[in-house]
Amino acid sequence: MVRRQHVRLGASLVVYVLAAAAACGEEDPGQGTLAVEIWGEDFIEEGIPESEFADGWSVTFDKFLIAVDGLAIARGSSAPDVEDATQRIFDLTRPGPFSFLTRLVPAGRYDRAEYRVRPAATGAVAGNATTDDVDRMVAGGYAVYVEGTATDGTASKTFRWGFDSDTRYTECHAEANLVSGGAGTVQITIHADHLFYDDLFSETPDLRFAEIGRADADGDGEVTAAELAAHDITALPDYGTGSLPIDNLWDFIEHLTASLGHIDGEGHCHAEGAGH
Amino acid sequence: MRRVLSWTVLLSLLPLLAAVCDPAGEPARLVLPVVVDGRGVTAFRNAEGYDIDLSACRVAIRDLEFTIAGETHAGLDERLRRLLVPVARAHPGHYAGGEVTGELPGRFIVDFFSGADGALGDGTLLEGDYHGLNFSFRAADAADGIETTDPLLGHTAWLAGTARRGTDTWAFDAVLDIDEGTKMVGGPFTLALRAGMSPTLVLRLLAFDPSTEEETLFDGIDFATLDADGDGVVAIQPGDAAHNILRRRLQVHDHWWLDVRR
Repeated sequence: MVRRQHVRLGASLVVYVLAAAAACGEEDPGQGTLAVEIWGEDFIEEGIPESEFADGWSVTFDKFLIAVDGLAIARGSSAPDVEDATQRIFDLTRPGPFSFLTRLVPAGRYDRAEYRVRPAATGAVAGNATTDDVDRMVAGGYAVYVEGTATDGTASKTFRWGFDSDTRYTECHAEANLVSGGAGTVQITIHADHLFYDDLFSETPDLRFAEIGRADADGDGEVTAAELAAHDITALPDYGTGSLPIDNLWDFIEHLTASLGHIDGEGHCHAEGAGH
Repeated sequence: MRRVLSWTVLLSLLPLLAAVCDPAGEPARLVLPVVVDGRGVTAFRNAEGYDIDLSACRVAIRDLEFTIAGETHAGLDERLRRLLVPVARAHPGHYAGGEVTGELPGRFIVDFFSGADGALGDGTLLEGDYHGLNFSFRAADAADGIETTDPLLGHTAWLAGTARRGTDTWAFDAVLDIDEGTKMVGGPFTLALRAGMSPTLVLRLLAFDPSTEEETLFDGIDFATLDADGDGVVAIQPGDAAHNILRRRLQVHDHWWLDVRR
């Protein structure tokens, strides 16, 4: 009798344990291939046309180097299924998009991503950039390096600017819905036009270059970082800085580098970090 | 045997039940009066060497936010916090300042020369370690109940006073336009707010940047240069370079301060 009770109790416990496991566990969703890519869109590859600027200028890029690492992609609030710390250097003036990495991951909705754009460090590898460009980024400690030309049809100005800003893009609203056996893509999208915004906080900033051109104090046709740093913006009607104590064009543009990063085209991220 | 097992199971569940049901982990929600200090702004000397004595300063603002440092606060219950106030979000891709855990929504005209405290209302704040004040600028309009002759009507700020350098004196008047919704982010506000406390929060305008005591609200304004006709009267209006300089300085958090009166 006592033995039968023990058997019954044991059987009940097994049932409870199995039921609990079923309740707490999840079905295997299967796996799919998640590709992560990076792209600078037409604005970097072909240039930003005059129609986009409020002051008649246009810009083309000869180089747009960016150092990206700290990649993490997750399904909702769960732990990331993709994590990669390798710092990769890309030149986004080359026709893209470019592969960042590819992983076999559980199927599901990958709607949360983060990455970091910060000064290139020893150990950084070429994404699609040349070895020389990787060396340039590491030696300069640049997170972003741009070379290009701006023109208003009569005057031309060149620029070569390296930024050592450090920005973590978090809570990026990715849109990859991966089914079992299928494939999906998350794209790190870089918006170069933000470098020429005329306000740090306006929801509807204009693109301008004329003031940047006026910063060319020695008139040699190249607008340098030093000339931008010496160009006071405090009396200008635009170039709003909100509560930030920014009073020159270099600090202004450097601050804007923290707004370059997006996800899946126009998807937004939360940017953390400032300047250096 | 069965009884022992039942009690064992029940006792093992108690900590879990306590964790789920105990409200002790939730931060207290406090309602604090917020006022503007109407006792004026201390006279000061700007970088151009003018001794400036303000006699009027009124600013149209809205929606005060009180922030703790950083982007998260482990001690706060996320659900409660989101119910009370939205998380601060900058323009996509831009920076946010701290985590908003308190608010005083509404439209205000703050008058720093009313002669007394001007009540703005009751702010709602979760307990926490506060470090910052945010608000948005706006333009004053008829809904504010101001006269049609009021120089602030249609504008964001109106300041008046005198500037002296040597034996010369200028009377000045400045009307400022700041884009609707432009935020002042990170005005100093230091308060370790805990349940049971009932301080009054006092908004002040500082002529000096308190962190350096060097930069002033009127740095970059050269009154003699602005007085083209030499009549000793200077009017700073939207469109002027001086307007842009003054507007920019008024937006910077260095000149806004939220005092705690216990």
